[in-house]
Amino acid sequence: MKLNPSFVKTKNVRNFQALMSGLELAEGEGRFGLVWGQAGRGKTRTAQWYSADNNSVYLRVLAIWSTSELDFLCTLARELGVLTPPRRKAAAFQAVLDKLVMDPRPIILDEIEKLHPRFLEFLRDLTDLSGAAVVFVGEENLVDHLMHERRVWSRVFQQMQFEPINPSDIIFYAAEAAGLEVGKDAAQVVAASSGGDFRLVRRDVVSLAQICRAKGTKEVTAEMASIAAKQALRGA
Amino acid sequence: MPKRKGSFAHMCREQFEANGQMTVAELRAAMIQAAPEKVAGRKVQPMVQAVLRDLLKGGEIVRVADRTYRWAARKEPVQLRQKMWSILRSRRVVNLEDLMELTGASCPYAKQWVRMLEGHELVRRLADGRIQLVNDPVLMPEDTNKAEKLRAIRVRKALDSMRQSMEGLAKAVKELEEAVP
Repeated sequence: MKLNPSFVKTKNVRNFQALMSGLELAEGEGRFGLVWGQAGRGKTRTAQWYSADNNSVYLRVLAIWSTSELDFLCTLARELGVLTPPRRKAAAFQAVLDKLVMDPRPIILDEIEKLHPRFLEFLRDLTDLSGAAVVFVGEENLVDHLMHERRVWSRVFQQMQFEPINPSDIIFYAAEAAGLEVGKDAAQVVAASSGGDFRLVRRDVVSLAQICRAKGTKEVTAEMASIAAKQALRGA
Repeated sequence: MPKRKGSFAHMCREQFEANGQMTVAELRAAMIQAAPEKVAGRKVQPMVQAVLRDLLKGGEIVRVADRTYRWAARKEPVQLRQKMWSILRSRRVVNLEDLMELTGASCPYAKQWVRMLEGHELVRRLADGRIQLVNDPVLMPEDTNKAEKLRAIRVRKALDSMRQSMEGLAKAVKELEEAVP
């Protein structure tokens, strides 16, 4: 069974948009944004959706770059539209900087923990010299990690945590994706069983849609939600 | 409002970009100076007001006082195919549902776009139906077939309009000839 592909603006997504708007207000100034949260809360999906929708730069950090600043800079340059990035560090940095000065698009770096701390100095230089915002996306330990980098931390203008998905988001998502009418009690059952993980919510909504189809109804009760949660546990 | 370089609206936009804030009178004067060939023999005020209405509606300018507007520097909305390109490049392997969910594209449009990329040999379909980016040229390739189709439609429309005008003219000439004894 397939869900209707629709991107639902959950509370986390709205907070992410607010963070990006907040960063825009300080245009021209070197600044960082910080987004963190447990895996499965929808950080990556939200960042990809936002960057596609707003012509920002999205870059997922690869562990292989931990030893090569040049590879990181070349990839960033390509994301910014440099067709053949220079194969020297300083020149690649300059190419990135030139692009950002001309068009200071926000850069969203996902899984930032994989970068070596010395890369943060590059990024600080880039944001200071170009005035483009850089947003770090990572897991819970990201805050502690950056707090030790005082010069980076002082430039963090906006920050947000991706919170567990709440019952009202579940009600809205089930309606949008599967046309289900989920009651408040049922949504609470799904929220509790999924632990606020969006991937698990999606899985539960698929189960609920199957149960509803079998029963010939669109209304989801708390009992159905419990059955869906148990089915998921059995399948796990 | 789509940007068409050289159009009156685009030139108004450029004036706002250059000056930041302008009154209607200032914009009118600037346009008369910047594009005399566009305004020759025409009433400039209604033209300027029509553009201002569109820019305001599109959020590109904001009204700051009576008859005074400020450039809001709002960027053009990102095109659907550009959004899909951005998602494909960031994920490398996607399925149609991802493209549809994250960009809001319809299923037929997403399929057509993927076919276009297949034509350029930039993507390949995996056994499970997902689409993999195999060659990344950074910039999205143009859909040449579609561009040609659109060009042909525009030419056909222009020809139809010209034909209608000619017919109208011939009819008027005939009526005049009949009216003269």
